[in-house]
Amino acid sequence: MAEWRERLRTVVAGWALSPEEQAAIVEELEQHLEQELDELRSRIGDAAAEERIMTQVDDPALRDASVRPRHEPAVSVQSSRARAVAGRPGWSAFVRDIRYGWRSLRASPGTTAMAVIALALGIGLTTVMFTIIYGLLLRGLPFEQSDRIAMIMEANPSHGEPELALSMHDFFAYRDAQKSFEAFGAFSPGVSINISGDERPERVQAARVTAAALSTTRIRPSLGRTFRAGDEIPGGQLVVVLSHSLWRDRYAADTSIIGRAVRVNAQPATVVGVMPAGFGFPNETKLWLPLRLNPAAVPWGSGTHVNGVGRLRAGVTLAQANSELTAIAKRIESEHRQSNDGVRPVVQPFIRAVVPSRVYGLLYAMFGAVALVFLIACTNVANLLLARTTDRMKEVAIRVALGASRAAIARQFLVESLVLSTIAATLGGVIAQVGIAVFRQAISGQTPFWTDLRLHPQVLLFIALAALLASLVSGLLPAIAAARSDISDVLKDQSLGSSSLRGGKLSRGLVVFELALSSALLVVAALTTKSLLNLRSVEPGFRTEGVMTGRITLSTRDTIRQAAFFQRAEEEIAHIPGATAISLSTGLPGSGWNEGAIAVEGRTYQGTRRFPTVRQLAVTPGFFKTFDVNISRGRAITAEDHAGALPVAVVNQRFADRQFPSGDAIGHRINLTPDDTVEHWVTIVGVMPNLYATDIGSINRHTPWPAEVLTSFHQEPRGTASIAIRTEAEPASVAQPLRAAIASLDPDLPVYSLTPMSEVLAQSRWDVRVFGGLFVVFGIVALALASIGLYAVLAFAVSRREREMGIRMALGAAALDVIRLVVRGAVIQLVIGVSIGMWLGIAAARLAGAVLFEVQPTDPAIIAIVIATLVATGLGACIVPAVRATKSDPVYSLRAE
Amino acid sequence: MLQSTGTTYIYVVTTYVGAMLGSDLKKGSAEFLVLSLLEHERRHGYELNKLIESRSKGVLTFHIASLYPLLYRMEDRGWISGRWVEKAGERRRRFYSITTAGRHALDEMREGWLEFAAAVAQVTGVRYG
Repeated sequence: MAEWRERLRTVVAGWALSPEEQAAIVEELEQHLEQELDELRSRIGDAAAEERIMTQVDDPALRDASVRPRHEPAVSVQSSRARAVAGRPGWSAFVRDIRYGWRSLRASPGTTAMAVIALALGIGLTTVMFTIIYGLLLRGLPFEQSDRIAMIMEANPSHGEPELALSMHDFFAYRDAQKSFEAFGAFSPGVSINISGDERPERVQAARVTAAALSTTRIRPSLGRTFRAGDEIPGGQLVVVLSHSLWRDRYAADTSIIGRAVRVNAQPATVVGVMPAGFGFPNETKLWLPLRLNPAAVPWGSGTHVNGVGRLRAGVTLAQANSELTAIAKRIESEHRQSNDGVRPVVQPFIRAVVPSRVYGLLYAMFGAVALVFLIACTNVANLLLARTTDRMKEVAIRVALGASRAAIARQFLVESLVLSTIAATLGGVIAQVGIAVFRQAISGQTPFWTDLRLHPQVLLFIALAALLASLVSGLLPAIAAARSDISDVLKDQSLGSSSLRGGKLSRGLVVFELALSSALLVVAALTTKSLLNLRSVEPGFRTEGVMTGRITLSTRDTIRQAAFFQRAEEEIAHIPGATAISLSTGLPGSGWNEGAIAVEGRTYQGTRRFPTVRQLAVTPGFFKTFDVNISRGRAITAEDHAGALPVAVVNQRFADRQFPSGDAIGHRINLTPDDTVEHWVTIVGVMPNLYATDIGSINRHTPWPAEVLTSFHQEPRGTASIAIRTEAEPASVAQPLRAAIASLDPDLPVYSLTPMSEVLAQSRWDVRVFGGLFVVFGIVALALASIGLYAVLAFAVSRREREMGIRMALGAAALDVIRLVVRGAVIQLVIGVSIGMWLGIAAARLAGAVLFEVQPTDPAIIAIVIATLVATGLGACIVPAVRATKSDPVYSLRAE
Repeated sequence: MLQSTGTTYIYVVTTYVGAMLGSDLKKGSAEFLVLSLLEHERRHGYELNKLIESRSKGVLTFHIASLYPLLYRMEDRGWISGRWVEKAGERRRRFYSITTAGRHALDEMREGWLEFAAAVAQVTGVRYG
């Protein structure tokens, strides 16, 4: 046995341990010394190596070492893999990283606060938009398995008709032959009725539905019943079902309402049921009537048209249902080619069919915009964390030198970012809650019954995912930068400037990215701000102050009785105290125009699509005085233009310029029904200025000053009229006298939509106001975030170069030279970022065209303002720290070396 | 890895402060080193010794007289635990791994070390960061 082994056993034997413990320690120390001996032998030879080992064994410190008895655990047999597994960080490492990250964030409260606020704004705004989209479009109807409820319409692509209601003949044919739906019903869209009886007459939104249509929802009434097949037979006793809100507000939630007699459009009816609270299917319905169809009474394709609604059978897809109905449609087409040539069914999810495509487009465009804000916020935080990382490189270097793996370093930084995001997500949730409440207030009454805007569990999950994404996006770069840095360089490098170089390139790249996104958002925000200002200051061309409006719809379809009623109504309303002028018209100027095609006499047009379209309104002579519309040439519509007289029209200047650019429009005749076999010719007797007309439908969407034609109200039969009363008193003061005047003529006839004209105009563009307002908020937040980010990064970069500036000034550079040096670097980033951003912003503005009003995406003034704002912000961000740096003592800066 | 400048830095600190505070600081540093090396992976005594020597470029070395009594004391404190491990075809070896208490101790030592280093930097004028 080697001498050192003997000596080792002797030394260990002197320790106060059991023989087993001594043997174990000897074994361990022998292994150590054997390995060391092998290594030394190869370097210094056997003899010298043995001597070294002996020296260690003879070390008095070893003899005197006090080793206490140990409890020796069992031997474990493990593979080398298990050894590596045992070293892998687990839950405790994660908890440790969280604690460490929290302490680290607390150590720099300013940076942490800025980062939290930036992320909270990004997460909060994104959550608001997601809540809107989820509550309106994604959540679906509040019914059991609502994704199985489909709307059935028709289309005739060969005739350019993308959306048609079903003729009642087609509806019955589909219903009787189909097997894809367990319930297949129909409803008439857009029905309003007058309800009267014991209480004051009232106009309510109603729906005529088949019993099967209501059964698709699987919702049972809270009182009574819904409709049976017998209720749908034409001529039978009329029954109605009330909504919960109508039952509560009009009938004081009377539980004995079932069987009560009411009057609907002056017809007697009986209440048979009340639906539960919140039920408004198919669209904000307050009252349901049975849909009574009599297909045998009219030729195929004529008569009432309806919307189909059905609940798919289990296992049947929309595509399969569409295929089945298409086969049925082809059979109908072969039997009724004249009415059904090219007609095909369209089966889609209910909400997708009801909500216009442009609303989908607008909402998703806004989500894209707010996602940009989120990205800007993350970039901002990434920059702030990157700057902190550069500050902490010495700490990182020492940790690596003491055995921490680079993966552990990166994990630490990512966890720190996760802690930051979690705090920000909590604050972001609060911001979202406030934002949703404000939005709900702004759009009150404008959304369908199924809209549910609140923080659903799905929205909370979204917040959590957003926080996770934020932590990854903002923490990944600093984590990678920290983990990949060259530790030896960091430890050697006493100068701060050079160690910031690598972080500087990344930082500058992030600033350019942030500037580009912010510029894009600012462009859209500035354009929508200008739109809102334009909207507010638009001169409509007609009077809006001091005018009260209302609307009536007659129950009778007898045109003679209608004409007689409106004559008497006009006389009665004119006698209302305080009324200085009154008007009856088919709609109100601003939002009540109808769209129609016209043809000028003597001109030929190629096909129906070549007819020019105009806005039409039929008015009584009082219209011009009520709304202060002055005729510029010819005459207005007068009392002489009554039924039986020559049909006349007054056109606006735009119409005259378009149709008669080189001549006078007066005296020409136009056909108001060029598509119809029955022609309706009118003679132009006057030209008026352009009147403001908001968008209706999808035609002429981009001009609020379209071609307009006014005709005489009394020369055309109609059952509905808008009433306008001009008064020197408060407009609301004539509301009750108006009701009384109409009630004196027909007690069952309600006056509804009583609103001052000024409010009518304001309500007509609520979508521009609400969504345009959101864009403005996004833009302001983006500018604030970009400004903070730019300032923080530039200020940090300048502070890192303090020594360099000190050297320059010590060598004779003027303060201005130093400032110029700093500014030049920032300007390059600004130019690149803003250039990219302008291009992005103009592209985005084209997509957001729905919220732009009388402003072009490439508006030069707006572009110039945005560029100036960003440049001013950027210069301000770098000049302040640059000037501060020039004030420091160069000797102090140099002393750091 | 510590380079020449870092070597000087640590060496100066160790001897200067060691003259003031005695063996406590050195012993504390040794425990710090061992815990750091065991943070992510268990190792046996020889491996610990070699790692400390190689990563410090020979500045810090341990002999068995200082290393193993240190390891046994740390075991008594509950900061590390030793296990005999048999691998197929090899002699059994005693491996040490860090415990939860040891991780806590390591965290505190790290913080203390950073504060100390910063304080020294303040006094001596060496820029730390």
